[in-house]
Amino acid sequence: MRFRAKIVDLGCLNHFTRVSNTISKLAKTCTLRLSPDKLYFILSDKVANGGVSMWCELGQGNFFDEFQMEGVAADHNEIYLELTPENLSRALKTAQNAKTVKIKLTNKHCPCLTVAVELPSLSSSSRIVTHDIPVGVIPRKLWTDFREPTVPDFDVSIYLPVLKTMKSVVERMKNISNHVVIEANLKGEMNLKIETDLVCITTHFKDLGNPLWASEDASQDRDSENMAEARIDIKKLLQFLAGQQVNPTKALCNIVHNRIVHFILLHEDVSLQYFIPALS
Amino acid sequence: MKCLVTGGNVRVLGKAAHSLSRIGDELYLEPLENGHYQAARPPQAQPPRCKVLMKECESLQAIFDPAQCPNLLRAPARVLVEAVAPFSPALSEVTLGVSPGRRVVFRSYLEEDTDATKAMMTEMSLNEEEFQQLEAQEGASITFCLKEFRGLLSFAESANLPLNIHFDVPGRPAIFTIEDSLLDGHFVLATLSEPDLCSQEPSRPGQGAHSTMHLDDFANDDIDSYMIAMETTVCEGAAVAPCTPSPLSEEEEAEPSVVPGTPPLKKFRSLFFGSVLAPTEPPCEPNPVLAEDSDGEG
Repeated sequence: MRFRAKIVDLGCLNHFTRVSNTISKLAKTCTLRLSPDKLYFILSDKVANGGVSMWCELGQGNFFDEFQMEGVAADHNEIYLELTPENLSRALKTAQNAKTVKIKLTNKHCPCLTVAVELPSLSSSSRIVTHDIPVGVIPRKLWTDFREPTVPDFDVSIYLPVLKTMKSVVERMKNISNHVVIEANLKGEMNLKIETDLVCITTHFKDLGNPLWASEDASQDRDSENMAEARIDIKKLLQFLAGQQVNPTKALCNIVHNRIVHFILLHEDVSLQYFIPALS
Repeated sequence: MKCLVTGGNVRVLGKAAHSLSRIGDELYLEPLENGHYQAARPPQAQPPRCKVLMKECESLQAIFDPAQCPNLLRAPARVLVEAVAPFSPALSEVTLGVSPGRRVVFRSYLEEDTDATKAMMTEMSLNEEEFQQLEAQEGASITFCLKEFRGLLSFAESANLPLNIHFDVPGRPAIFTIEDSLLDGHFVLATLSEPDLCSQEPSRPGQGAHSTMHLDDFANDDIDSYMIAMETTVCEGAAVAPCTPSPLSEEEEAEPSVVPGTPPLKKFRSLFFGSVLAPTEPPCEPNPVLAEDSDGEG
């Protein structure tokens, strides 16, 4: 198993750093999957995560000037690593003015992702900062735990409001209730509702638009005013919203009534899917 | 006691107090002969002192004699501040040393009870040219408290003075000095001792070519990081400034005594002498210097 990659362009480095920062806000530990063309940050829906799962996919060519990997075997040319994403973010934070950043899989005192940052100096040779981030190598027999999630058979699919606005609404709601109901219909309307013994608060969003999915049986015969809803943990929703650092090109969510909310954020070269299960 | 501090010395005194406040909770102010005052932290595990001369006079007797330390590094405080910037604020101790190839290396020190398979390790390596003076053998290193080092660094940086680091073998105190016409600061920090040979940790798996992941080609990557350093790079800005002539405190009579309250012997992890500083095996082939276009970098 080998992996080495290099970033030289500052814009690419900043972009990769932002992705890493977002992931570190969404998961304490996650799986980093490496393939010849893509990188994935994956959180599978274990009970320990409260059923939340995440799938973030990056095209490596958009970030790295060099990218070489050799997986566990010729017919399984991939590498799965368990990683604490906050360590990656901390390492990349030291690379703000870097000339180059190299990331490679090494074996120091244990398997590590080594991030080597070349920084400018006033002398004839650069300063080098090296971070060794311990990782766990995930054996092939466990790879099935990390399969790409399928888009659920949703009742409503709707574009999200501006994330910043949504986040500030949910932030205030969090002080009042632990749960929030997210509901939406095919008329482009979405409501966020909280309810306690003392008070009910609903925030209405209109004219959001509904994405057109290619699938034939997208609820065509659904009454467009009918709301599909799911009651979810408000902290998990806030964690998702607060983790976003850049406005995505497209942001939408799919709601399976009383089952699950599936968020999809698309940037030019990164896609992020986040699943929050409904509470009973 | 009644004293008057005049002019710019007020700021110097304030900064000295601020710096010492990052090292300890109490300040010990002692008037000496000829109107000098000496500010120090009460003797505890690490007794640094900061002498603030309120009047011109001959220098005071030091308990810890920098001249007896065989190793010396001097650099502008700013360079050292930048050198420790990549380390987590939570890190307790840092190891400073000179690697083969004469690079100056700071490395995070893992305490005994830390799980090495979970903790992130950071290392910063600088060219010796960034140092105004470097008199130390390759392989020399010491481990000391990072928080206190940052404290004394900020004082040196605010005074815009270079810092001298005098050190000896691990376990002997390290003396950090700054000087100009107004002040003379000596900070003494204890350093960790080396363990007995019999309690030293066994060499780690995977250091050599026999790694279970067959990373043979990557075992040279640590050498690779130095290959980056040897590439010709464009230097913006002037060469390193000539060192400010600042005589070390000469007038030492007393034998440096045993540091009172030295922390108990700690195992000195051989991590610092891992593959970076002292490769357990030489590279399999001579690595070519990657002489890229000096215009091509950055």
